[in-house]
Order: sequence, then structure tokens, then C-alpha cells
Amino acid sequence: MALLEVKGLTVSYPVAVGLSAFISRRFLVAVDRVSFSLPEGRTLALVGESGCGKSSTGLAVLGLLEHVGGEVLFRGKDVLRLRGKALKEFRRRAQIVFQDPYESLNPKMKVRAIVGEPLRIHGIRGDEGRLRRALDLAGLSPPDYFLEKYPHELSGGERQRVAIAAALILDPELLVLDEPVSNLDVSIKAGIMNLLRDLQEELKLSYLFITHDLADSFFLSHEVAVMYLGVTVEQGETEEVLLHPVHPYTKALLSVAPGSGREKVILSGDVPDPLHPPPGCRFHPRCPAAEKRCVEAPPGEVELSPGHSVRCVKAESPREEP
Amino acid sequence: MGEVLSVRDLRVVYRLPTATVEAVGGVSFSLAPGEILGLAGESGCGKTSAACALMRILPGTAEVRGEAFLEGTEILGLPEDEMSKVRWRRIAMVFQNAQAALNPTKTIGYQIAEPLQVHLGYSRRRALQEAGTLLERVRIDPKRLRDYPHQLSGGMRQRAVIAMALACRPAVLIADEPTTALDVMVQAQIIELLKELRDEYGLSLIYISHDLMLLSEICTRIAVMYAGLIAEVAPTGELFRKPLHPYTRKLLGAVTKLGFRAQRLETIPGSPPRLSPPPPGCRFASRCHRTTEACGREVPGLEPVEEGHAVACWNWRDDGAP
Repeated sequence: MALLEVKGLTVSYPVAVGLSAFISRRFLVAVDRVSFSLPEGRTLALVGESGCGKSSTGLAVLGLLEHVGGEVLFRGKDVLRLRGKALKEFRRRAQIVFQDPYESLNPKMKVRAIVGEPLRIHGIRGDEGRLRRALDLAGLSPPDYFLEKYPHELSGGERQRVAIAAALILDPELLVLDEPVSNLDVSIKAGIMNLLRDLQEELKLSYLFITHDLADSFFLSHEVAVMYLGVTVEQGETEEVLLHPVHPYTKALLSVAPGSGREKVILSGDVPDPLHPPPGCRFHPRCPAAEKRCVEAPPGEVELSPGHSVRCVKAESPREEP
Repeated sequence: MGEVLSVRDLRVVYRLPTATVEAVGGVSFSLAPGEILGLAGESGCGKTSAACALMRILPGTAEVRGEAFLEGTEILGLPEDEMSKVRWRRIAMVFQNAQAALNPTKTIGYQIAEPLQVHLGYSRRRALQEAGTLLERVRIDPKRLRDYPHQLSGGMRQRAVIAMALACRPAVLIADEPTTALDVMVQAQIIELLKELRDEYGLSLIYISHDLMLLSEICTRIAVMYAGLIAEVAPTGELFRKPLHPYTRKLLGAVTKLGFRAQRLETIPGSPPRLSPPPPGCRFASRCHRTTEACGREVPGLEPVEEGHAVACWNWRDDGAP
């Protein structure tokens, strides 16, 4: 059984537009029926551009959002229906690391307090050894040097390691990594990427790795789900999806990734307003291969090979490369 | 005189109340007509300081020395009233944060027309007309002249800023991380646009970025900066094929690549040296795996290796393997 099984996850945000805020609540659907499963000790990368719903998916999986539909099964139990003690226990098992360690750490707290806070919240007796071990795991050694520091005394890479230590201290099984290296310089980023890989191996962690960087997802993930406007357009094994993409959006996104060596497919315009998503396939207004039927109905999910699926009408009819 | 811009021994020193920081420590390079020169490097390496020094837009605390010949005229020593005839007219710059570069209370049209009125003495009407043409050129509907910055998407704002920078048809455009805050697809659009504009206007570009893979796709040559100095400069292909400076090698090894899953990414131990004052000798020495006695004593100059390829390292000759 997979550690995490997400079925038909939908995330909406209420939006207030002018007077309508008083009359009716409108909803922006940020994630629309997303499904995936994450086995133990593996990494699933959620990739896509800003606003595609990847971060919302990550937060929803942790039960941190309202207006969430579908099922998020963690070891078979639906996270979205957990309350009280069971929810708290789940939160121990699933942690998150955010993008910006300059904002995610409380500047008034010392590293000791930041990393120790989860222990306090969960009523675990403050154990010095545990604190040191977490710092050690995150590559902050010697721990004693770092324990008494404030975030501003640390470099960007060290701060992100503090955030990782705080996420690790409760011995979680699942880490949601929300663009954990996006704000870091190359040489520092490389250290964090190596660390994440080592930690996974050592602690058998499962990662939900949210990133806009396809090369990063290639380095760290076993599987990839490509999102566009709240929908997963293609998912499967990382090598399969990123080296032999089938969906026109995946192809375009890969082509513009610096260093991909592919011929550029530059889509014009911007991603449409998620409040008014286009009918049919959400990608059709920008798709180089769009045809009439793409406007009519959203394409179903087609399994091309075990584990590799794509949402494109052209993949529905066999022998037709989209 | 085959060069549009020739920079010799450019130094930028910030005189702060508590310290004197040498952000740029003597940088020389030249820019050929139609060339796109990449300035690569991590945060704090002095790439932006060098660019702003050329634009003469650094704050009063900065002391700039050296020479920069723009189309034959030395601009670092020009009196301000003369420089104001050069700035934006012969050399222009676009910044990372397009939002901050635009005045939120003025329309896009007003802001593009303004430099035309101020610098070229256009009438308001003619300037607005030209602004429309420029907007169209950067692929924004001229109807949006009446829009305010907040009504445009991030990509459009950056394109509007490019239109502003190009309004007076400068010979040199400095693009300082113009796409860092944007999604890859929008980044690809902007880069395509910049290349077109270069061909059309005979523009020469200095493209500043921390992203080596991105630079590899647009630049004819790349200069890698470290701690205020150029560590290595080479034609793009050559830099990737035959990097000679230990820093360049490490940096290239630290980048995640699509299609190649490295076992580990290269990391660079330690952090860049303080530049108040800079250490004697090679500035990379404290983090270099191959140092000799000379490294700690004297700063290595940029030594030509091959046509267009120069490296500032005492030991590049015997550095067989990274």
C-alpha cells in the first residue's frame, strides 16, 4: 500500500469580487480532481508554472486548507476527515519545508527554540539529544554552534537546514517540500539537494517535491506529475515523462527549460485566469496541436503504459501522436 | 574600434559607516556590436554593482574607479549633465523586478512616452504614438497603453520595461536577471524577444544571471564572476566544454541537468570571503581544493588561454581533473 494515496483532490478558494462578496461567494478552483499515489521512500515531484495548483495540492495533502474535496489517504486513513488526536498524530508524521527560509523562520527565536518547537507542541519532553540529532541530520554540525544562533546570523543555506531540522525532529514519514531550493544560490542549493537525497535514503522518507524546475525534479524524483491550471496533464516515472513527454504542454515546458537541448516550443500569452478556465481541455487555447474536439469536452486520463498517463484527446485515439 | 563598450579595471567600493566594501575589484571586459555577453555569478559577486556602475546609478556611498568607453566616449568620468545624455539614450538597463521599475500611479503609455519626451524632445502626441509602436514591438496590444502596471501580468510588465529601455534606441542594453521572477515559459518569451531586438536594432547586450544553463542558451560569451572579480571568461561553448577555473568547474557541477541524473551534485565548501577588505591573493583560495603558495599571496590576473578564453587562476595549467 502506498504511504499516501490522493484521490480526486479538489481545492477551492473563496474569492470576493466587488459587491458580489456580500451577495454570493464565488470559488476559484485551484486544484481540480488530482489523483496520485506516493509509495514509501519515494519522491513524487509536482511540477508546473505559478498558479498551476502545485502548492495548493501540497498544503491540502497536509490538511492545512479549507474547501478541500476528495480523499487524501495517509496509510489508508483519510486525512481530510481526521479530527483531534488522530489529526495531531498525522501532523507528527507529515511535515513541510517552505521555499523561503528568510520568511519561514521566526527571527526572534533561536535555532534551539525553532527546531524544538514541534516537540513542545506535541508535548514531547525537551530532549537535548533529539535536538542535536535533528541538527546533525540536517548537516548543521557541530549542533552546539548552531543551537544558540538567531536566523539572521545564518546563511541562506544554513537557514534552510534549520527548517529541515525542524521538519525532521518528530521523525516524520512524509515531507512536503515546497520549492525548498528556489531562493538559494547554485552552490548552496546543490548542498541541500544532496542532503535531501541522503535523508531519504537514510530515513526512508517520502517526499512530495513541489518545484517549477524540471531539472531539479529530474535529480530528486522517482515520479513526476505535470500540472496546468489545476489539472494534472501528465504523470508517470520521471525518466519516462521528462525524456519521452507525450502531452503537448509537457513538451513545451521541457523545451523551454534551460539546457534541455530541445527545440523551443514557445507558447504565446499567459496562463488563463483560473477564475474563468477555458472549456474543454484547459490547455487548448495555447496548445500547438489543438483541434475542434479539444474545446468540446475535457479529455479523460489515458494510460499509455503502466504508470504513465496523460490527459489529451490525441492520446485517446491510438497511433496518433499528439 | 570594433567594440561598443570597453571596460577597463572597473572598481566599485562602498564606503559605509561601519566598513569599506570592495564589491567590484578591478574588472575588464569588452562588448562587440550585436554580442550578448553573460555575467554569471552568485549573490554578492558584484555583477549588479558593476552594471549599475556603468549606468552611473549607484548611490553616493559608492566610489567608482576605472574606465568605460561607450562608443569611444569614456563615461565613468563624465559630468552628470553629460551622462544624462548618455544614460537611457546610449546605454539602458532593465531590472529583475519590473514591478518596482514601474510607477504604479502612471499608465504604461505615459511611462514609455516619458523618456522619448525628456531625452529626444518628442511632443507628447508623437511620444505616445511611438510608445504604441514600441508596445506592439514587444508584443503587447497597444490598447494597453492606458493600463496601469497592476493590470498587466508579470511577463507583460517586464516587456513594458524593455520597451521603455529601448525607447531611445540605446546601443547597449544591460539586462539584470530580467526573468528571474518569471515562469520558464514567460522567460522563454522574453529571451526570444531580446534576441529579436538585438538583431533588429543592432543592440549589444550584457545579460546578468545566476543561471548558467540559461546563459548558455543566449550568450555568445560568458564571464564568470566571483567575489568582485572575473574568474574566467570564454565563448559559451568553450566554457561548458573546457572550464578551467576551479570555481567555474564546481559551479557547472552543482547545476541539476535534465537528462543526466548525477549521483551527487558538486558543492563548494565554505562561503565567499568578506570584501571589507578582500583577502590578499586569490579570492577563491579559501574554498579551492587545489591551492599553492602563490594563491594566498597574490591575486591572479586574467590570463589568456585561447582566443577569447581567459582565466584568473595560478594553477589552471596543471589542473587536469576537477
